[in-house]
Order: sequence, then structure tokens, then C-alpha cells
Amino acid sequence: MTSLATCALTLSTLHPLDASVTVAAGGEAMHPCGSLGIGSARGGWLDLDADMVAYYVDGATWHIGQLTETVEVRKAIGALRELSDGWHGKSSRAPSEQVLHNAQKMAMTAVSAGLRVPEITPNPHGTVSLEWETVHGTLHLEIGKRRLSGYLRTPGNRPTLIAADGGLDLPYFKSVSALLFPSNAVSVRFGVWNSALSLGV
Amino acid sequence: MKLEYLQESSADTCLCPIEISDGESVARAIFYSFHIKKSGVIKWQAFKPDIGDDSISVMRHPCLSEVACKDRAKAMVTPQKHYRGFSLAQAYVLRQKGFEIADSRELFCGHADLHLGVTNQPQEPDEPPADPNRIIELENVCRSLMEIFSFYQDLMPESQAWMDQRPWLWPTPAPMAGDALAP
Repeated sequence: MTSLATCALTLSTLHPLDASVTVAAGGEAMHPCGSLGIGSARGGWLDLDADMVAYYVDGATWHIGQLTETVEVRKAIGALRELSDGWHGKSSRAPSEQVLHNAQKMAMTAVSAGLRVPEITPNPHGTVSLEWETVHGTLHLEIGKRRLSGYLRTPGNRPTLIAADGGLDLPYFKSVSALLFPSNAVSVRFGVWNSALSLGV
Repeated sequence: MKLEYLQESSADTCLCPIEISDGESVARAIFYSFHIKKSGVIKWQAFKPDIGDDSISVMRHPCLSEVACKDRAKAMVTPQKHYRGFSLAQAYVLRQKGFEIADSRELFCGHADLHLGVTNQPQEPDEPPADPNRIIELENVCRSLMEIFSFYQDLMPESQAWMDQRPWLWPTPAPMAGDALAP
């Protein structure tokens, strides 16, 4: 697989305005360099496989670098790989690779929708919890291999229960983002990029 | 002194009173970085019972000194489980909020079980409960504990001594006027 850095530079040279590689926001797809990623709200990908790298198209130029939030998500999820069964009592299970993949994908989809990096916590049953808590409300998702469960609670209201097979999509997280982080602008979330040169490519 | 004759004593020879007085402090050891928020506050998950259980382990400060508690906590460390400090609460505050604490010296002298009143129910492995209300029920109780306990991060976890100067034992407040008094 070509590295994302090399790929972005190549695409920048050959197809500076090529929009055909853009995937649907929130959708999972292979990008031209063969790496699995999810479409971000701004077009392009947040890469799920390459280490600490993400890139997007801003209309004319390919950019590559590190998005602070995705680095943080990847680091938090990566730390959970150190766990083994029995970490929280005899019957507890370490989260499987599939659960970690699902949790990372959900967290990155949420981040790309404008939510902050969640609190990421493993559970004794082998699931992973993602939680966002602000004065405007709380979203708690417990992610498993095949399904997720949780709730959205806003002050003074009964919690809205969430139970789904698979994951939640980007429009859902966008609506939650508007609720929990009303002053958050997506443009600010995508403001932290390193140049290709700083990655040594 | 406590360390010498209490920590090593068995359930039969434990000199600590079985009754846990209201003024006692209890300590819960904290081991995982993911149980501490970026803000330094303990997460509610640090108070989650083991699967199938409704209680969590705590240590009784009057029976075990700070150093003995630390010694006990460090004995539970594994390559993936690192000692990071203690969350502390007073027995009377826990009782006021409806929690029960019971001595369980069969594990070791100074050990107690803090009962939550809600069991962490067994469920399908690697999957969340199908009913989200089960998440909410356990989370609400654990959040109550999170609000009661104060986190004392150990800034020198490798050291044998407890270096933090903050007290582990606070005075129990006098009854307020109007509180029921024994005749």
C-alpha cells in the first residue's frame, strides 16, 4: 500500500482538481491509495489504517497531516489493545479488534461531524464506551461487535434511548454536535494541519 | 505499626473492629489511566462492579495506614494495571446516600465491600445491553459514587511512602439543629 503522504503528493501533481475520489461523508470506502477511510464532512478521508495521518481536498490542493482529534482518538483506542481478559475481575473481557475498530470509526465519524474527542473507556463485557458530556447534555454510546446501545440526555428531559445494529451516521452526529456544542464551527475543527514537509515527505 | 500487625493479620487475628464507624474513610485504589478524565476527575466507570457483582472493593483507613493501603494496591499491579492513587470517601456520606459498606476481612484485614444496590448484570460477550436502560441504571449509581469520592492521585507511585499531605480522615460534622437525637 502506498503511504498516504506519497499518495497525496502524487494525486496533487496528477489530479489537482479531481473530485472523483471524494466519498460520501460518513461512508466507509477505499481511497485511491488502497487504505480504508471514512469520508469527512469536508470531503476526503479521515484515514482509519495509516498511523496518525489524515487528509482532505480543499477544492484545489491535497493536504496531508495530523488532525489533533484523530491522533487523540487513535492513541486512546490504541492504549486499549494492551488489555487482556481478566483486566476488571475474572469474567471481564478485553475489547476485540472488531470492537476497537467499530469504536474508532464511530469516534472519528463524530469528530468529523464537529464533536469533540469523546471520553473513551472499556467495559468489563468487552465493549467500549464513547461519552460526550457538556452543560448542554450527555451522549453515551456503548459499542460492541455488532451493535451499539446508549442514550442522549439533555437537562430537564428524559433520556432518548439508542439501540442500533451497526453504527450511527454522520448526519446523526452533526445533529448531536449542534446540540452539545452549539458554538462549535466545523471550520475550526479542521484548522490543525501540518504541512507535508513536516512529515518528511 | 498498623502495617506491621494489621496488614499481615488473618481474618481470625484482625484487630480492626468489624463495625465500620461513620467517621471512617474508605479508599478505592485506581489503576487505569482510562478511568481518569483529561481534567483529572475520576470517571464513573472506576466504580463499576465486576460482572455479576453488586459491590466494589475498598480499604478501611483506620485499619490500614496510607502506606499499607498503597502497599496493598501495589500488590495488585500487573503489566497492564498500574497503581495511580486512591479515591477516598467517608462512611457516613456513603450511608447518607444509601450505600452499604460491610467489612470483608476474609480477603484481608482492612478490606470492605461497598454495595451499590445494582448488579453489573452478565450479558452477551462483546455486545452492549440490548436495553439501554440497563446502562443508565448502573451509570446513575456509579455517578453518585463519583460525586462522593475524591481522587488523590499519587504523584510518586514508585515510592513506598505516601507523600500527599492531604488528610485521609476528616472530622464527622456535628448533628445539625433539628436532627433526631438519641434519648
